[in-house]
Amino acid sequence: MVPISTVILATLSFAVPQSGPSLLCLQEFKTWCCHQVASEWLIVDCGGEECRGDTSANLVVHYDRTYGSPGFAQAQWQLQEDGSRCTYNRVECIDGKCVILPEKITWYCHRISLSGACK
Amino acid sequence: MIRLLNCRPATRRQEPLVQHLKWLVVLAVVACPDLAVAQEIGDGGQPPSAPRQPPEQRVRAAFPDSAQVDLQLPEPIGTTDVEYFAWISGADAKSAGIVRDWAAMMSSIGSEWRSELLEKLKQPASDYVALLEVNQNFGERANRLKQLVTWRDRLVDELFAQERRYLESLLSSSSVDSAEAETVVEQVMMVRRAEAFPADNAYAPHLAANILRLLHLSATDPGTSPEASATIRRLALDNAPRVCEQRRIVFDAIAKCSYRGNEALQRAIDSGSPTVGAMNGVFRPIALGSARVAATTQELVALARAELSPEVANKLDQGVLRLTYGALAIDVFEIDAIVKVIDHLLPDQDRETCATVIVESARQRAALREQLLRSFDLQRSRFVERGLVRDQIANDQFRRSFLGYVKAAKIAAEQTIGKIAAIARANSKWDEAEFERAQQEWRSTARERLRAMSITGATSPILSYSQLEAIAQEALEQ
Repeated sequence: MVPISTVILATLSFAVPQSGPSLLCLQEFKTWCCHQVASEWLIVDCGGEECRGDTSANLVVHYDRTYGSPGFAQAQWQLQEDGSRCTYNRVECIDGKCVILPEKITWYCHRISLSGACK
Repeated sequence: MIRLLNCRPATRRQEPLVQHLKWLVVLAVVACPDLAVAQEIGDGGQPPSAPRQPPEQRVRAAFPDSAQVDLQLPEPIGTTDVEYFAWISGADAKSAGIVRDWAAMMSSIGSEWRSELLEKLKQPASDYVALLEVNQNFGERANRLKQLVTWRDRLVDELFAQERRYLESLLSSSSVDSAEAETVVEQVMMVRRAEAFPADNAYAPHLAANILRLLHLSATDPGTSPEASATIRRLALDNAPRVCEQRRIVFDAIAKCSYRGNEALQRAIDSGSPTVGAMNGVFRPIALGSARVAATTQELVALARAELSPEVANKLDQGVLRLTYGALAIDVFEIDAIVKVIDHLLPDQDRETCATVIVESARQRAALREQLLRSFDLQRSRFVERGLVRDQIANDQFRRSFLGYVKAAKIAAEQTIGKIAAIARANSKWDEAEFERAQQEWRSTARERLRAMSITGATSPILSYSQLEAIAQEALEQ
């Protein structure tokens, strides 16, 4: 059975109008955007390496083995000041060596409201 | 962690139902806020009981087109750019008026042209992200990116050509002399092409502080005399070709680095060479080009300073710093707010002494900050030059200097607050509780400013989020 809170969040995500957020909502969007990018995307980019998602840190996922420097690394990311999008470079690992990829991926955040407060 | 379902957005036919459901859901959230919060915070990183898709697919399925490869697309001309384009056109009053009209039209009709043309790239840019999930071959990725960038170049050229034709037609219909019209068109489009693209804060941060626009702000500042304003405009016009060419070269290299970088990675794999550092040949020109832009900016700032009042010159300096370094350039321990609370309690005879102490403290913090920014700039540039490769030693060194900076700036500010408070305490109206509240507020603002550094990724080429958080905590808890 799907938890009721999941239903609420999923429904809200799509019921909110697609126009941009009001200024009051930007802080919320900022937090969500980078949290989402970090927690969802960067974990995938570990490429089979052992990796540990530090969700308590909110924004950044740490890798145990990357760039040939154990215990040190993090993907590149930048948040636009208006909170509308995050841009970051993926990290991929080949034979235990990880590289920051040259192309930037932009994640657009402005369409979504999680709490339903932004309309 | 936030969990998402694999759903599709509501269609138009579903709207009435969704509208009703929305209100029901809003009521449910208002009534039981803990439900939503519990889901958002997560359960300690454990996956939900339902089978999960790979996260990338799950997120993209829920929010199609929300992730795209960045193709360095031009920004539209904004309504706030109108005066700037008239100014930088170098034209006399009549032609400048036409440029003003053109820029105003471009902020509406030009924006529509842009959307129509560049919309075509949205789906392929999104498809490329999907390709990353299934294709690990850098050569194939490079080919796909090269096709996209070539297409992007064609569309961008088309957009600029449309903008150019519109300006030409406006000038021609206003009977402006053809030679003059040509000069104005060349100047305006040279500037437009050189600054239409968003500056990349990680690869080429120095392009964010566009010196031509900053000079325009200085020239039009109410604190600038008409003579100085004319000199600043001349300075901008004389140097515009050089500034624009330097910017254009870097933007061009950035637009191509995506596929060139993938090509370099594939070549390294094919030849059995290390992939780490394989892209240095691609990124070195970007780092060097960005440094060249920075040097030109500094040179023009120095020349402009000689013409400007100290106040306007200071605004120019601050503008360059804020645009280049973002949250990192902010005075974390600024004491203006707390001084305001104490200010009215200071005896008249001590005001001058206090003002001197405050200015000296600000100067001290600025010097510490400048030292930090110089060190950051060097390390960030090296990171790009190496081909987006971090260095553990550089990280350790910068972490130590950052911690040193935060501690020293905090101590300097605290000493200043202490000195001024000691003088104000003699006043019978002194309120210790109010002062304590002001101090708490000051600490909280400092914490927020440090958080802004981590949340915007200002230091991410060198320091990780957790390192920055640890520094903030260690410094603020002392």
